[in-house]
Amino acid sequence: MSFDINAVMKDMGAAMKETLVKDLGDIEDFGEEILEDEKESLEMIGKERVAGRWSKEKFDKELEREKKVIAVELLTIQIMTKAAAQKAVNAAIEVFVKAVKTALPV
Amino acid sequence: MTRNHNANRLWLTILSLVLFASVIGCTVRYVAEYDASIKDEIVRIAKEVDLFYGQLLDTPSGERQYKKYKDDYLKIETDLRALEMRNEIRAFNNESTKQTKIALELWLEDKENHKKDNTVDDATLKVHRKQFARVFVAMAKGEGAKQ
Repeated sequence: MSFDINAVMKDMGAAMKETLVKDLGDIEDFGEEILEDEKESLEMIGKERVAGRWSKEKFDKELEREKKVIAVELLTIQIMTKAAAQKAVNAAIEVFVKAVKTALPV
Repeated sequence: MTRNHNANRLWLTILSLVLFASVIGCTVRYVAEYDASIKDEIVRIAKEVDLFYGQLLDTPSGERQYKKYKDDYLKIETDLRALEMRNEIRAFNNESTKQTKIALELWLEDKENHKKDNTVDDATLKVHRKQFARVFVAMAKGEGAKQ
């Protein structure tokens, strides 16, 4: 069996693309979810301040908390991105190892 | 003769690569291995926190003295600290560890404010309940992404 590095590279790229398409879609969906949730939370905080039920100090404190919540959500995006890269690289390595094994003389 | 020599060298290189790949396990790792028990624990604590806020909201604001909720604050604090430790001891798990640290920070802030004011208003409870729900969803999704 011959070992054509160009063909192998093409297959590796296809394998990476296949896993990335699904995972990047999930990341995008979660990004939209974050924005939607953020809108709801900010609406609640804003209403309390505008109605005068919360002082400026309380409002600022709540905004600081909100920043921490967003930080947690962005950390999830980081995990999802790293996991997607891991899956894509491993899929490509698998294709390469398989191709080499197949080409090995028996 | 030279062609044969080159072919041999090529095969030797490929064999070395295969051997190297099998030695390193043929995979790369950027995130910790998925742990279903951690995801379950996140969901369990999320339920506990949601119930805590539900009980507070169900109580008239004049009867929300800190003393009544002290044990629940401590219990949830302990659960969050345990989760933080479980995340911290796992390799490639920086982000999840940071997430648990922030959740604990938010929880301790709530505890201190309740202790100081000896009550909590409805709006704060509603906002914080929603914030914690978002934090736990993010943490569970992060763990799930490691599968």
